[in-house]
Amino acid sequence: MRKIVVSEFVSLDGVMEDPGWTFQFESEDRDQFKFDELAAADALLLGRTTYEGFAAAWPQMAEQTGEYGAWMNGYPKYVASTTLEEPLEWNASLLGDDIAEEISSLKQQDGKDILVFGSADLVNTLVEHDLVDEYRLMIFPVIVGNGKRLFADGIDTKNLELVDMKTFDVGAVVLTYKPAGTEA
Amino acid sequence: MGKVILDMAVSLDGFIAGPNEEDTGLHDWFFPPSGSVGAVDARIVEESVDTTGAILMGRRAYDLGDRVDGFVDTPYKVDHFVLTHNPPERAARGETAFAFVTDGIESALEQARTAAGERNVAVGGGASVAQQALGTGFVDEVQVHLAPVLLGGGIRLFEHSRSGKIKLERTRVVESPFATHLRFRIIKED
Repeated sequence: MRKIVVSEFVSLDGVMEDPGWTFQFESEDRDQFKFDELAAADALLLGRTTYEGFAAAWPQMAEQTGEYGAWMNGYPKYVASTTLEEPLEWNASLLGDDIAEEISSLKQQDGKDILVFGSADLVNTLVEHDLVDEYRLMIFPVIVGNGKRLFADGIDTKNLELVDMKTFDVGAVVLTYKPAGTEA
Repeated sequence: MGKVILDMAVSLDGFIAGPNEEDTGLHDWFFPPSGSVGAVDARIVEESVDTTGAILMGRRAYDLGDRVDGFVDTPYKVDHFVLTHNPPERAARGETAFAFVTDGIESALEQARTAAGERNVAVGGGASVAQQALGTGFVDEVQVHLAPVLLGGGIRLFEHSRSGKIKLERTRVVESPFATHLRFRIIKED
């Protein structure tokens, strides 16, 4: 049984889109956190927009991103999209129409964590179907004032439990939650 | 002069109340369901009560508070300023002193700051007053009490197009099972 871990950069007003506002808050402890997170995973689960952005950017950054970049480029990616068609680049494969069913069976397989970055629409689908095992929200000290939010209107209320909190040397705090009443 | 602090409870997805204005546990850190406040949350409440010299709120927040007799035994024994176009005919039950301000957010903030003196003005909701207050540039700090719940809809604390980009400095993070208390200083650009 593997975990679906939604790991996101968000502003205080909940925006996840185009997170250029995170750049000024780089720190070694934050890099270490992201490194450890990717090391504990062996696959990515992405929506179309994030997939297309990542697939265009990460292969270009192979030299300067070292081991982290090698993992990003090498791990298999599962992509949720109603418009893309196989074959996909960047070691990616398309999930079928019944996203919830496909992800449920992915979770049954052996393996490490499956990480979701960005991909707000997909995240809301996962939340609706109770498929998220862990939320890691890295909250940055800025109110952006516009842009796409991570969590949309119109989902049912979900109670969570805080399982971990970590502040970084510069700016961000990461809050880790799991659905209330589940095993960590 | 004290500070102006936006001080509000919010769900993890950014709502200060559900679609029908229900609280849905956002204030469990303040009004714990078991009746006894945890030590961590108690310190946050105590600090707020000790340092707050006036409260600014909107009419809807006032009505919601009144409806549940929320002002009858509030620990905040300070002047409450209510921004409204239509002052009510009678003030809410309880001993709290209310002033109904009809000439805008800046006037309301000014009056509240004068009343608060060396202590702080807490801007305590709702969302409209919070956004208007942020827009004035007079808010010094933001404290959000982030409840571990995804409400999935309701009234957003930060409605877009109401405020521009605001840079913050994280000054404190305190966690409890009922809320993560995040405190920020607003970095003023000028």
